[in-house]
Amino acid sequence: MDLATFNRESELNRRAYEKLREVIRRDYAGKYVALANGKVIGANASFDTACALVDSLKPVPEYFVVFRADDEPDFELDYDLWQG
Amino acid sequence: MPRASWASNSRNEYWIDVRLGGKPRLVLVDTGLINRQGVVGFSIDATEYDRIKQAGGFRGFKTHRRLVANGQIVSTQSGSLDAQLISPQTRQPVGPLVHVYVYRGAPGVPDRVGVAFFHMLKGCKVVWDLDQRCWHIDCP
Repeated sequence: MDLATFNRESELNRRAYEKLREVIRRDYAGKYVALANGKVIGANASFDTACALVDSLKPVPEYFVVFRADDEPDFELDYDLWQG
Repeated sequence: MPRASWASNSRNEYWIDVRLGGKPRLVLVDTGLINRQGVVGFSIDATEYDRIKQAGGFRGFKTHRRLVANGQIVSTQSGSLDAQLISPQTRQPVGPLVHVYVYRGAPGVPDRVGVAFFHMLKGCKVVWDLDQRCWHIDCP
Protein backbone atom coordinates (compact mmCIF):
# COMPACT_ATOMS: atom_id res chain seq x y z
CA MET A 1 0.00 0.00 0.00
CA ASP A 2 1.39 3.43 -0.85
CA LEU A 3 1.25 6.38 1.51
CA ALA A 4 -1.43 8.24 -0.46
CA THR A 5 -3.72 5.21 -0.33
CA PHE A 6 -3.03 4.76 3.36
CA ASN A 7 -3.84 8.39 4.13
CA ARG A 8 -7.04 8.32 2.10
CA GLU A 9 -8.31 5.00 3.44
CA SER A 10 -7.40 5.60 7.07
CA GLU A 11 -9.21 8.95 7.00
CA LEU A 12 -12.30 7.40 5.37
CA ASN A 13 -12.45 4.67 7.98
CA ARG A 14 -11.62 6.99 10.86
CA ARG A 15 -14.57 9.25 9.95
CA ALA A 16 -16.84 6.23 9.59
CA TYR A 17 -15.77 5.00 13.00
CA GLU A 18 -16.41 8.36 14.63
CA LYS A 19 -19.98 8.28 13.33
CA LEU A 20 -20.49 4.64 14.29
CA ARG A 21 -18.61 4.48 17.59
CA GLU A 22 -21.63 4.41 19.92
CA VAL A 23 -23.55 1.97 17.71
CA ILE A 24 -20.50 -0.31 17.54
CA ARG A 25 -20.06 -0.26 21.31
CA ARG A 26 -23.73 -1.04 21.84
CA ASP A 27 -24.40 -3.57 19.10
CA TYR A 28 -21.09 -5.44 19.09
CA ALA A 29 -20.18 -5.38 22.79
CA GLY A 30 -17.68 -8.10 23.62
CA LYS A 31 -16.83 -8.78 19.96
CA TYR A 32 -14.06 -7.91 17.53
CA VAL A 33 -15.29 -5.59 14.78
CA ALA A 34 -13.90 -5.43 11.24
CA LEU A 35 -14.13 -2.03 9.54
CA ALA A 36 -13.18 -1.46 5.89
CA ASN A 37 -14.30 0.72 2.97
CA GLY A 38 -15.97 3.03 5.51
CA LYS A 39 -18.32 0.30 6.75
CA VAL A 40 -18.58 -2.35 9.43
CA ILE A 41 -17.86 -5.58 7.58
CA GLY A 42 -18.86 -7.80 10.47
CA ALA A 43 -17.99 -8.86 13.99
CA ASN A 44 -17.06 -12.00 15.87
CA ALA A 45 -16.04 -13.05 19.34
CA SER A 46 -12.78 -14.35 17.84
CA PHE A 47 -10.20 -11.83 16.57
CA ASP A 48 -8.96 -14.25 13.90
CA THR A 49 -12.48 -14.92 12.64
CA ALA A 50 -13.14 -11.18 12.44
CA CYS A 51 -9.93 -10.80 10.38
CA ALA A 52 -11.10 -13.65 8.14
CA LEU A 53 -14.29 -11.69 7.39
CA VAL A 54 -12.08 -9.09 5.69
CA ASP A 55 -10.16 -11.78 3.77
CA SER A 56 -13.47 -13.14 2.45
CA LEU A 57 -14.31 -9.88 0.67
CA LYS A 58 -13.79 -9.61 -3.09
CA PRO A 59 -11.63 -7.72 -3.67
CA VAL A 60 -9.87 -7.84 -0.31
CA PRO A 61 -9.57 -4.24 0.85
CA GLU A 62 -6.03 -2.86 1.11
CA TYR A 63 -6.90 -1.07 4.32
CA PHE A 64 -8.96 -2.36 7.23
CA VAL A 65 -8.97 -2.30 11.01
CA VAL A 66 -10.04 -5.01 13.43
CA PHE A 67 -10.55 -4.03 17.05
CA ARG A 68 -12.56 -4.94 20.14
CA ALA A 69 -15.81 -3.02 20.22
CA ASP A 70 -14.99 -1.35 23.55
CA ASP A 71 -11.47 -0.37 22.45
CA GLU A 72 -10.21 2.37 20.11
CA PRO A 73 -9.00 1.16 16.70
CA ASP A 74 -5.54 2.20 15.53
CA PHE A 75 -5.80 4.35 12.38
CA GLU A 76 -2.28 5.74 12.64
CA LEU A 77 0.84 4.84 10.70
CA ASP A 78 3.44 3.42 13.06
CA TYR A 79 7.17 3.38 12.48
CA ASP A 80 9.17 0.17 12.68
CA LEU A 81 12.43 1.14 11.09
CA TRP A 82 14.27 -2.08 11.94
CA GLN A 83 12.17 -4.17 9.62
CA GLY A 84 12.07 -4.19 5.86
CA MET B 1 15.34 5.23 44.08
CA PRO B 2 16.12 1.73 42.78
CA ARG B 3 18.20 1.74 39.62
CA ALA B 4 18.35 -1.00 36.98
CA SER B 5 21.35 -0.75 34.66
CA TRP B 6 22.39 -2.35 31.40
CA ALA B 7 25.64 -1.81 29.51
CA SER B 8 25.79 -1.83 25.74
CA ASN B 9 27.35 -4.87 24.08
CA SER B 10 30.25 -4.87 21.63
CA ARG B 11 27.81 -4.14 18.77
CA ASN B 12 26.53 -0.97 20.52
CA GLU B 13 23.20 -2.64 21.29
CA TYR B 14 21.30 -2.12 24.53
CA TRP B 15 19.41 -5.23 25.63
CA ILE B 16 17.21 -4.92 28.71
CA ASP B 17 15.43 -7.48 30.88
CA VAL B 18 11.66 -7.47 31.02
CA ARG B 19 8.94 -9.84 32.13
CA LEU B 20 6.35 -10.23 29.35
CA GLY B 21 3.23 -12.16 30.23
CA GLY B 22 5.04 -13.57 33.27
CA LYS B 23 8.08 -14.80 31.32
CA PRO B 24 11.52 -13.14 31.49
CA ARG B 25 12.90 -11.96 28.18
CA LEU B 26 15.79 -9.91 26.81
CA VAL B 27 14.68 -7.20 24.38
CA LEU B 28 16.67 -4.76 22.25
CA VAL B 29 16.07 -1.06 22.88
CA ASP B 30 14.73 0.35 19.60
CA THR B 31 13.68 3.98 19.64
CA GLY B 32 12.63 3.54 16.00
CA LEU B 33 9.73 1.34 17.14
CA ILE B 34 6.99 3.94 17.46
CA ASN B 35 3.30 3.27 17.92
CA ARG B 36 1.48 6.57 17.66
CA GLN B 37 -1.44 5.36 19.77
CA GLY B 38 1.09 4.79 22.54
CA VAL B 39 -0.08 1.27 23.42
CA VAL B 40 2.32 -1.02 21.53
CA GLY B 41 5.57 -1.25 23.45
CA PHE B 42 7.23 -4.36 22.02
CA SER B 43 7.73 -6.45 18.92
CA ILE B 44 8.47 -10.13 19.33
CA ASP B 45 9.31 -12.95 16.97
CA ALA B 46 6.27 -14.29 15.13
CA THR B 47 6.82 -17.86 16.34
CA GLU B 48 6.94 -16.77 19.96
CA TYR B 49 3.94 -14.45 19.48
CA ASP B 50 1.95 -17.35 18.04
CA ARG B 51 2.98 -19.59 20.93
CA ILE B 52 1.74 -17.04 23.47
CA LYS B 53 -1.48 -16.57 21.49
CA GLN B 54 -2.07 -20.32 21.27
CA ALA B 55 -1.58 -20.62 25.03
CA GLY B 56 -4.18 -17.90 25.67
CA GLY B 57 -1.55 -15.48 26.96
CA PHE B 58 -2.99 -12.36 25.30
CA ARG B 59 -6.00 -10.52 26.67
CA GLY B 60 -6.97 -8.59 23.55
CA PHE B 61 -5.87 -7.93 19.97
CA LYS B 62 -5.90 -5.19 17.36
CA THR B 63 -4.52 -4.45 13.91
CA HIS B 64 -1.94 -1.85 12.85
CA ARG B 65 -0.07 -0.44 9.85
CA ARG B 66 3.70 -0.04 10.08
CA LEU B 67 6.08 1.91 7.86
CA VAL B 68 9.21 -0.24 7.64
CA ALA B 69 12.78 0.51 6.59
CA ASN B 70 12.32 -0.33 2.91
CA GLY B 71 9.47 2.19 2.65
CA GLN B 72 6.70 -0.41 2.57
CA ILE B 73 3.52 -0.08 4.63
CA VAL B 74 2.79 -3.47 6.16
CA SER B 75 -0.10 -4.66 8.26
CA THR B 76 0.33 -6.57 11.48
CA GLN B 77 -1.54 -7.55 14.59
CA SER B 78 -0.73 -7.08 18.25
CA GLY B 79 -1.78 -8.82 21.45
CA SER B 80 -1.96 -7.33 24.95
CA LEU B 81 -0.37 -8.60 28.13
CA ASP B 82 1.35 -7.34 31.28
CA ALA B 83 4.97 -6.19 31.22
CA GLN B 84 7.48 -5.16 33.85
CA LEU B 85 11.19 -4.41 33.99
CA ILE B 86 13.52 -6.88 35.68
CA SER B 87 16.62 -5.54 37.39
CA PRO B 88 19.66 -7.41 36.07
CA GLN B 89 21.36 -6.66 39.37
CA THR B 90 18.74 -8.26 41.65
CA ARG B 91 16.78 -10.34 39.10
CA GLN B 92 13.64 -8.91 40.73
CA PRO B 93 10.84 -6.95 39.05
CA VAL B 94 11.27 -3.19 39.30
CA GLY B 95 9.01 -0.31 38.34
CA PRO B 96 5.31 -0.42 37.51
CA LEU B 97 3.47 -3.38 36.03
CA VAL B 98 1.94 -2.08 32.81
CA HIS B 99 -0.61 -3.40 30.35
CA VAL B 100 0.89 -3.19 26.88
CA TYR B 101 0.41 -4.45 23.34
CA VAL B 102 3.09 -6.52 21.55
CA TYR B 103 3.45 -6.62 17.76
CA ARG B 104 3.68 -9.92 15.95
CA GLY B 105 7.13 -9.32 14.45
CA ALA B 106 8.78 -10.88 11.42
CA PRO B 107 10.55 -14.23 11.94
CA GLY B 108 14.22 -13.85 12.78
CA VAL B 109 14.01 -10.18 13.79
CA PRO B 110 15.20 -9.54 17.37
CA ASP B 111 12.64 -8.97 20.09
CA ARG B 112 12.51 -5.22 20.68
CA VAL B 113 11.19 -2.65 23.11
CA GLY B 114 10.02 0.72 21.81
CA VAL B 115 9.15 4.16 23.03
CA ALA B 116 5.59 3.44 24.19
CA PHE B 117 6.72 1.02 26.92
CA PHE B 118 9.08 3.58 28.42
CA HIS B 119 6.34 6.23 28.31
CA MET B 120 4.16 3.94 30.45
CA LEU B 121 6.71 3.81 33.28
CA LYS B 122 5.16 6.57 35.40
CA GLY B 123 7.56 8.09 37.89
CA CYS B 124 10.59 6.48 36.23
CA LYS B 125 13.51 8.06 34.42
CA VAL B 126 15.84 6.73 31.77
CA VAL B 127 19.42 7.91 32.24
CA TRP B 128 21.62 7.15 29.24
CA ASP B 129 25.24 7.45 30.35
CA LEU B 130 27.05 8.04 27.09
CA ASP B 131 30.57 7.92 28.55
CA GLN B 132 29.96 4.58 30.27
CA ARG B 133 27.57 3.39 27.54
CA CYS B 134 25.01 2.32 30.10
CA TRP B 135 21.21 2.50 29.98
CA HIS B 136 19.90 3.14 33.51
CA ILE B 137 16.27 3.20 34.58
CA ASP B 138 15.48 4.82 37.96
CA CYS B 139 12.13 3.82 39.44
CA PRO B 140 10.37 5.07 42.58
